[in-house]
Amino acid sequence: MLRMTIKVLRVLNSEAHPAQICGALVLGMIIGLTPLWRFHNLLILVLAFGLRINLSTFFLSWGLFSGIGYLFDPYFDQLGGYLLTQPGLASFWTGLYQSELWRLTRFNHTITLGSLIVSLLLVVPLFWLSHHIVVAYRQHIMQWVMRTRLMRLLMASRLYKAYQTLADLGGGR
Amino acid sequence: MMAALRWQGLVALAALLLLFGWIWFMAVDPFIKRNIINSAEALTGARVELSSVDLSLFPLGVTLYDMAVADRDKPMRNIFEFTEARIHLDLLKLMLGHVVIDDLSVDALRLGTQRTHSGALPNHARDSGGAESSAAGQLMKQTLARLPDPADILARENLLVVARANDLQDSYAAEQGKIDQLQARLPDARTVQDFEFRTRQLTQGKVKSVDDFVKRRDELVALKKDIHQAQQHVTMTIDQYNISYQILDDKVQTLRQAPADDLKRLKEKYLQGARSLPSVSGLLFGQESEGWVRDGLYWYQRAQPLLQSRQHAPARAEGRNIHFPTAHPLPDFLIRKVGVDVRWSGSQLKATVRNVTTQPERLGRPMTLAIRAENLLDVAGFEVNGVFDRTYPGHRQDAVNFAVHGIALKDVQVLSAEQLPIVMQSAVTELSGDIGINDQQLQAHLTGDFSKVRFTSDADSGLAAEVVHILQQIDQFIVMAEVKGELGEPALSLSSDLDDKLRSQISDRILAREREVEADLSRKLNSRSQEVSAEYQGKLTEFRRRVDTLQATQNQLQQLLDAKVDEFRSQADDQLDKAKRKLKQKLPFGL
Repeated sequence: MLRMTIKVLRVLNSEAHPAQICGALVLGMIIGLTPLWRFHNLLILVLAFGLRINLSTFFLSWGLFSGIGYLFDPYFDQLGGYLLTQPGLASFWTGLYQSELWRLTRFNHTITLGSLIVSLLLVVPLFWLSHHIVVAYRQHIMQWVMRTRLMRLLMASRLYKAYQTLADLGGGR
Repeated sequence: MMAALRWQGLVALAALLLLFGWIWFMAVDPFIKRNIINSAEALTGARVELSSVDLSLFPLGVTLYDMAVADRDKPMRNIFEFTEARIHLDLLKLMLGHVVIDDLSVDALRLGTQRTHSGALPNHARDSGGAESSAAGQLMKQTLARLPDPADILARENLLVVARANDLQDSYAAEQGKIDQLQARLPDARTVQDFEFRTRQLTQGKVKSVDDFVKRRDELVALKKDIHQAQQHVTMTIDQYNISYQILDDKVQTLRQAPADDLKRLKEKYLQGARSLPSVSGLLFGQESEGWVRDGLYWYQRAQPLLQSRQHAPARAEGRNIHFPTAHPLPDFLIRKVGVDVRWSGSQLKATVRNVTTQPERLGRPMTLAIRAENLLDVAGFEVNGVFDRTYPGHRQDAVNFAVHGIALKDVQVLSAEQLPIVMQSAVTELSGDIGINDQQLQAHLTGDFSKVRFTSDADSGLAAEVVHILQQIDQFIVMAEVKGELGEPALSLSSDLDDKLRSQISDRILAREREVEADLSRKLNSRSQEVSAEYQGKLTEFRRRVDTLQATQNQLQQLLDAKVDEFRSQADDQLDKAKRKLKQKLPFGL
């Protein structure tokens, strides 16, 4: 918990651009909510490692949304099952099913489809909301947080210094 | 744009993926091994040992080394073991979510091998279902070894003799109660004497005057009323005696008929003569055949998960694959071909199983099985061909035919020693049959052609010796079995040309014994019936005697009523005539 708090605070207090943090959050959200061994997650990993987003945020987001995803799996299953069995969409799915490339994505798996649809729908709202929160935090709250006794204690801790050292070496970007 | 990219990250990702891939590849073998062992143990219910597993990527496949599967019924033996089995998987299909095994081949397969330690799993006891006692054996024991004891039968059966005797007893008590009530109101001898005395007083002697006449007449009328009432009571009691006699006499007659009715029913139930004899083939081979049927059904049910769709609810976070029409539909799991080709010291066994899948309806083709073996230890060879069709959801249509040649039987205990210690010392058997399962209905026909047969027995006297003596005259015979009915509880019937020969011999013995039992039963039942009926017959005779006495009383009362009243009237008339004459004489001119 302490480690997580330090990580979050360190990321928020860093000089990373809000878009880098929010992009990482969104990518972590997608890989966290959807089943791991899926073709699209390879693309997410490539994006996460290939783009200059905040990797700490990405891994934090991944872990957080994996837990959330586990809770919501039954609903993803229902949503995916509902979409895949809609008569109106049958010809669309059947068309995709004929292609082995599409089948590699496991789009016909209920949880995969349900969770991917939900996570894609959340991309823009989550990015917009998190961007506003980061900006607002840095403008209005960061200075106050930095002055709090708890934060000073945290900053004095060895763990924080270790993270700081790693960040200085470029690990945060 | 370039500033947004992080090439080092991509390199790091590639390195990480390679590292994870390598670690997974190195660690996956024990994982696969554990999974195979768990699945096989769940399927067989016995211990499964697997020495090692080797996963190869190009081509994708798994090789299993030194696998042994124990027999849950005989834990010190293996059902089979093999040195090596190769499984070739289709990588592309695996990536598409289908586990498709193109070929599964097994080398150095050995069946029924001895184990050095027990293969029983803890807490995995098989339901015995009374395996040790066969229905045929029980019937044999009941029929041949111990005919029912008459005393036992009489003790445990609800007999008509007893029921009717009780009924007679109850009815007698009820009728006697009615009679007692009436008898309480009957005039006793003193009352009758009093009636006589008073009647004489009123009707005899001289009537002194008209007033005396009127007085006597009124008293006589009152007395007549009493006599009449007493007579009515006597009549009612006689009537009741007659009714009771009729009722009780009927019941005594019914009781006398009871032994015959009881005997008829008990004979039907216990003494069926030759009809009660089970088929000899059932006796000799029933236990063995029941064991085969039971084992066959057990393994058939065990194999069901491999043959049909699993409609279980998906586990949490598992999800479902929704399939759509495609030119080449594939199930989630498929073994296209399992091939076993084993040769050892002149023997050979070849087995091919095709289309093993849990979703046959998606595959559209049934599972097929073909096994052929030659020059086995005690069997010249056998062939088995089967089709297990589950292509239409909810329906199964399985068919297996087989032929086993030259089975050399030695020292087969056809019945347990406590039933009849008969051993088939040697025989050569040709076995053939076909089995069909249509949904829940099982139908199978098997024919066993036994030749060069020799029976022996340790028994040197008694029934076993007699049976063996008859069997020793027989060199060959045929046993035919039919298994039919619901899959969970099929009925097995056996027939054989042995039956006629043995049946006549054994049935003579049984009939003789049954005649003894019947006579004993009849004697005991008649004795019970006669004991009770004689007692009540005596009571009915007493009824008759009582009725006669009452008839006499009734006649006596009737005489009192009739004769005395007439006498009184004539006397009164005489008195009146005398009075008239006196009056005439006193009148002038004779008026």
